[in-house]
Formats: sequence, C-alpha cells, structure tokens
Amino acid sequence: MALLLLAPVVMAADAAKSNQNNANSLDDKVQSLKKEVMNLNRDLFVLEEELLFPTNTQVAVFLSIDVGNYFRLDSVQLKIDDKVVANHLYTKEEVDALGRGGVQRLYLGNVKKGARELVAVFRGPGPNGREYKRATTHTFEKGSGPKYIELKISDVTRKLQPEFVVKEWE
Amino acid sequence: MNLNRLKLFVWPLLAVIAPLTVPVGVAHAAFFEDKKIVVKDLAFGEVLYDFYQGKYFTATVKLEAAKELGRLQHHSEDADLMLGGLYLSYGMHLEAEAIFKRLIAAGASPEIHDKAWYNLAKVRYQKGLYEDAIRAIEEIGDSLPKSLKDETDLMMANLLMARGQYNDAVALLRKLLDNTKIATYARYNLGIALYRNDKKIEGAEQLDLVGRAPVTDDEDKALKDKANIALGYALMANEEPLKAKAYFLRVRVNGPFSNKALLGLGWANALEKDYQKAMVPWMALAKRDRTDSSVYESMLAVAYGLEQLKAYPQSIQSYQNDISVFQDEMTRLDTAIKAIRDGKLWEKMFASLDQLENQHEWRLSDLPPAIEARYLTSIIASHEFHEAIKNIRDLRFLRANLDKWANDMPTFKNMLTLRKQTYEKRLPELDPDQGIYRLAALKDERNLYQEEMDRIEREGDLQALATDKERKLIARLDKIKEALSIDGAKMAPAKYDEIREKYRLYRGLLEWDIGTTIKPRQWKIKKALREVDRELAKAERQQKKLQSAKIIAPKGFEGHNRQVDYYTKRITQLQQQVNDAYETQKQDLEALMVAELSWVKQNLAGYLDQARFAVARLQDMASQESDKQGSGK
Repeated sequence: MALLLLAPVVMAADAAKSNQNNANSLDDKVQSLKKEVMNLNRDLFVLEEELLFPTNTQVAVFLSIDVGNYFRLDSVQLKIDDKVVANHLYTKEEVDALGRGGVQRLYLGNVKKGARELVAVFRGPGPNGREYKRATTHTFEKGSGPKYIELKISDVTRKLQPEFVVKEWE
Repeated sequence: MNLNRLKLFVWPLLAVIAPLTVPVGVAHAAFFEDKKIVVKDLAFGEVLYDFYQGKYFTATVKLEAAKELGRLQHHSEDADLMLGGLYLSYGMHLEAEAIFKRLIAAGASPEIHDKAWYNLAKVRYQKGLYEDAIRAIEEIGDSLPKSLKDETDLMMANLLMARGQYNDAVALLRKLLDNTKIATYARYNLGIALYRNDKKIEGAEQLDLVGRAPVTDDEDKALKDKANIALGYALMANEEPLKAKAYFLRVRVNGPFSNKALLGLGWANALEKDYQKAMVPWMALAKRDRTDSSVYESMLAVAYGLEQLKAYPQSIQSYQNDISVFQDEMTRLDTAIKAIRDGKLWEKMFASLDQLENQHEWRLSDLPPAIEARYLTSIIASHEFHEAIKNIRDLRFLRANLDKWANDMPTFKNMLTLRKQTYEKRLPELDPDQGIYRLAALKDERNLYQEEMDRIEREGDLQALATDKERKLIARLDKIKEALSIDGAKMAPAKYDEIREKYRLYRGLLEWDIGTTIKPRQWKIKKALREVDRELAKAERQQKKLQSAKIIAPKGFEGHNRQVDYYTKRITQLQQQVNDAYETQKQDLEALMVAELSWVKQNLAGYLDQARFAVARLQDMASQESDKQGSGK
C-alpha cells in the first residue's frame, strides 16, 4: 500500500476528463489488440502442433513436483533412446511455480512407433543440502496416438528421500 | 502583501485535501492464489506453471488452446474462472467481464459471483471508470470475505464523493472505523468527506484524530503526516497560525511530507511576524534536495524573511542566488524536455525490459540521466503513468510475439511443401486400390471356410473336425475295415469276430471322443473365423483410410497452405495495428511528461520573476536610500 499510489479521486477539470477519455479509448484499443493477438496465438499454437507434431508421432514429457522438501530441482536432462532431447536449468520463479502445482512441459517432439527408452537425470541439492544427482529410466510403447509422460518428483517421508516417479497419461 | 503571498503559496498545497484511494494492489487472478489445486489434466497444470510465473499472456493462450483441443476435461469450470482472472491480470477487464457474466449466468457460486464483481470493480476504479465501478459494486452480494467487503466499502465511499454524494459517503465511512486494518484510511477520508460537505469542524476533528493516532505502521505514519499537513494548511488559510504550527510540528522531519511541513511552519511564524523563527525551518528546507516546489518556495521565503529582518544586502544576495538556481533548473528542464522529444526516454527502459513477459516493475533508474525523476514525482506516482508504461511494455511484447510468428510462417510453408512432396513420392507404394482388390480375394477365401463349416454342421460330419492324430487313427481303422471285408472270408470265424469287435470298439471310442468334443472344436473354428473377420475389417478400415487420405491429403495440404497464407496476412495487419497503438501510447506518455516538466518550468519562471522583481525593488530602495543620504550631505 505505497502512499505514492494514493491519488485524489475527484478530478472534475475538463482537461483531466478529456485525458482520461483518451487514455480509456487507447486502453480499450490495447485490450482489443491483446485479445486479437491472443486469438491468433491460440490458432497458431493449434496449427503448429498439427503441422510439427502430428498425433501419430507426438510425444510430450511433463515435469511436476509434489511437496519437494527433500530435493530442490536445479536442472534436468532428458534423453530418448540415448539422444539428449531436452536440457533445462530452473530459475527460482520456475521452481516456485512447480512447487505451487504448476506442470512444466519439458519436451514436445516426434518419436516413431515402437518401444522407446526415456532417461531423465535430475540435479540439485538433496537431503541435507548435498548435491544430488538421480537418473530415472522408463520404457514406453509409442503407438499411433500421442504419448504423454509425466515425471513427478515427490517426497518419501518415511525414507526422508525424494522419489522420482514416471507416469504415462492416456 | 505577505498574507496574499502566503495564500499564493498555500492554495496549491491545499490540494492535499483529497480522499485517499483504496489501499489495494493490482487486480489479478486472486481466485487461484489461496487454494492448492490438484491437477487432473496436464494441460491445466501447464497453464498454472505460466500463471504462477506471471506470464499471463502465455498462460491465457495455452488455456484457450487447451480448451479448443478438448484437453481440459476435468477442469472445465476452473478453466473459465482462471481465464477471467487471467484477463484481469493482463489488464483486459472487458474480456474478464464477459467471462464472469457467463459464469454467473451459468450459476456460479455466490462466492465466485461476488469475487468476480469485486475484481471488476477494483480494475474499473483504478482505470478511472467510476460509474462502471459503482455498477460492479452494486452487483456484489453478501458472500464477500469481511476484509474485501470493507475494502469495497472504502472504494464505494470514494466513488460517492466523486459523485458529490457526501452524506452517503460519510455514512459508509463511519461503519469502517472499527476495522483496525483500514480504520486510518476510513477516518482520513471521513474527515475529507465532512470537510467537503461544509462540516469543516467535524471534518477537522476526524483529521485531528488521524493526526494524533498512535501508529507503528509506515503507511499509517505517512497518513498521519498527511492529515496534520491538511489541517495545518486549512488553519493557515483561516489565518490561525498558532494552531497551524501545532499540526506542522507533528509531522515527521524525514517523512514524505516534511518539506511541506517545514514550509508551512515557516509561514505560520511569518504570519505571527516572527521572522527570526520563520527563518529556521525555511533555511533547513532550502538546503534540501530540490524534489518538490516547497524547496523552491523556501528559497524565496528565506530571501523574503531577510528582507523583513531588514538585512537588505543579504536579502539581495539570497534573491540573486535564487535567480541563478532557478535559471539553472530551467535549463535542466529544457534539457529534459528535449531529451523526451528526441526519444531518449525509452532507451534505458527498453534495454532493461529485454522483452520479458513477466517483468512488471518500472524503476526510477529506467529514466536517462537527462530526465531527472525529481521533476516528475507526481506523474511517476500516478496510476495513469503506470498504466501507460504497462501498455507500452505489453505492446512491445505483442510486437515481439508477432515478429516471431512472422518469421515462423515461411518455415510452416516449407514444411507443408516438403510433406506434400514426401506424400506424393510414397503414394504409389501404398496404392490403396490394389489393397482393396487383395482384400476382396481374402474375403472370398474366408467365405469358403464359412461354407465348409456350415456344411459340417448341417451334415454332422464329425470326421471333418478331427485332429491330425485322429485322422491317422481313422485311416488305420478304415484299412482294418477294408482288410476285414476283403480277407474276412479267409479268416477263422473266431479270429474274424475278435478283430471285428476290436474294430467296432476302437471306431466307437474314436467317434465318441470326437462326438463329445465337437462343440469346443466348432467354437474354436468359429472363434478363428471371427478373428479373421476382425482382421479383415481392420484391414478394410485401413484401406478405406488410405483411400480417403488419397482424396483428402491434397485437400489438407491446400487447406493448411490457405491457413498459413491467411495467418501471414493477419500477422502483418496486427503488426501494423500494434505498432500504431505503441507509437500513440509512447507519444501520449511523452506528452504527459513534457506537460508536467513544462508546468514545473512555468512555476519556476514565476519564482524567477518574483526574485528578479524583488532584487529590482531592493536595489531601487537602496538607490533611493543612497540618494537621500547624498542629498542630506
């Protein structure tokens, strides 16, 4: 509640009103442009997915954190069939967003049908603040539909350790 | 002259007697701030990830796309509420209103209903759309949390004052005086409302209560200072300097209102003709950083005080010093105005913005050295300024976004061309017509098996369903039967009877075995036929798909090509519109700042005239005095 933001409400002067009207009209225009650009982005987002990542080859890998008391994510590397497909270094804001329930789409790409191997390597301070590196391997079958895989970091309170779980979504 | 002159200085300062805005932050998607959401659709989690990072544009686009692609099956209600909140956060209250109205029409809970209207009211209030804000407040029911309800009442009271409905505002504000969190604000505004409603004594009493309240919070301390300043100047205008001094002395020496307090204190002493005492706060103020008009006025006041104390040479010296300072300041203001007109205002700010979507803060350090923030404090503190900066930043982001898509369009086009070429190359290998012929032959073959099965069932031909082993046994038994019929006459009757009995027994056993297991055998064959049917149907579907793909694919390529062409055009149109709005917004803000700097310059020109006039007058007096002394000799 910064006092600097406190301003008088009553501005009766015509000039002030006229400025306000101009500002409102420009503001309305900016709002309408934002909406137009958002609609365009939505359409292009759908088109891009259709063109670049058709459902028969599409694979998306997501990352989420549940609690995260025993591990603070610094970076992750993702390999599919031994090929690095994604690397990500996390900012404080990103870790915070994940901690609040956000889900990051770590990778969106194309993979041929058949059995595939996914390896995710997580790094960051683990229990007791010591550097922690952990790899998770998961084999999945890529069929004709899109494949969604979630990498979930959660706490195992019993062991005071983090747990890295892979879940396939329908 | 001194009272008139005092009033000249004092009246602008009385502008502080204005109600305070509601102490609220920027409206945002508060609906999701205080509850932990269990993500049931990955797409919704993805939206939350961007939303929590303040990337409202990206979050909105992803949410709209996920809705379009049907990826929010478990969060359809959350999605609309979130969308409304995101639009609010991104400054799009018109869109937000449409969504909230839809939610409300669809039977949203009373809590959501009230929170939605509360947020809309807040945004409209901040945008200066007062009548719209009142309309939104009037929609709010009884389901708003107490803290938000009080905040809404405080906002409504200000809106009523803006309408001139002071009695209604006073009644509303009186109800808020027991709320510890906003009581100080409410009491201050109550004082102003009463004062404006010609109940000056009652108004002063309320402001006095604010001015004497024991407070610890920094904002309340500032509010307390403001109340004391308002009262002090009101009393000065009423020519009650003694009482006014008590209020000025309550103001903190290092608070944001201390300059005005020092100036007022000096003038209160001057009104009592105690210029020695007046000089102390004025001289202290004149040495301060020149952050507002009070400092310039104190410089003139010091020279004026010296004159009143009959220290004429020092007074002339002081006025001359003021003239030099004012001229220097006016030169600086000219430099600042020129810098703005030359577009220098944006250089540092754009370098620091770096096109980040979620950078929402504007910093004083974003101003170039030539444009000194001290001249622009009132503008920088205004909502209008921050809204303009926000629009500029958002438009800049939109521009970068459109540029990115404009660069991507040729890639889409190339990809479509490549895909079409690959398709045309592979099409002969996957000739769906030939596949259909092959499939028809397989179907005929299958029908032969079905006919044979029907015959077996009809004729009860058990042998037809025998296993290989059983067939061998049947063949052996047939040979035995044949041998018996050919060689039976040559055999001893007893031996013949023994072999024939054994033959009958084994034949019977075999037929019994087959006969008792005929159902599972039939079932197995029928199952195999069903599997063949399924595979054939699947193959038929694939062949049909291939056939339709052969017809549709070229149309798909054409359709996608047309889409890419359409979006390319649309991007160009939007780039132009965004650029126009961006330039207009920049020019508006530049004009606003130039007007403010010109206003400061105009004031300084007034001070400069006064100082020059005073110097001329004092020099004239000195010259007359000298002439008198000369003629006396």
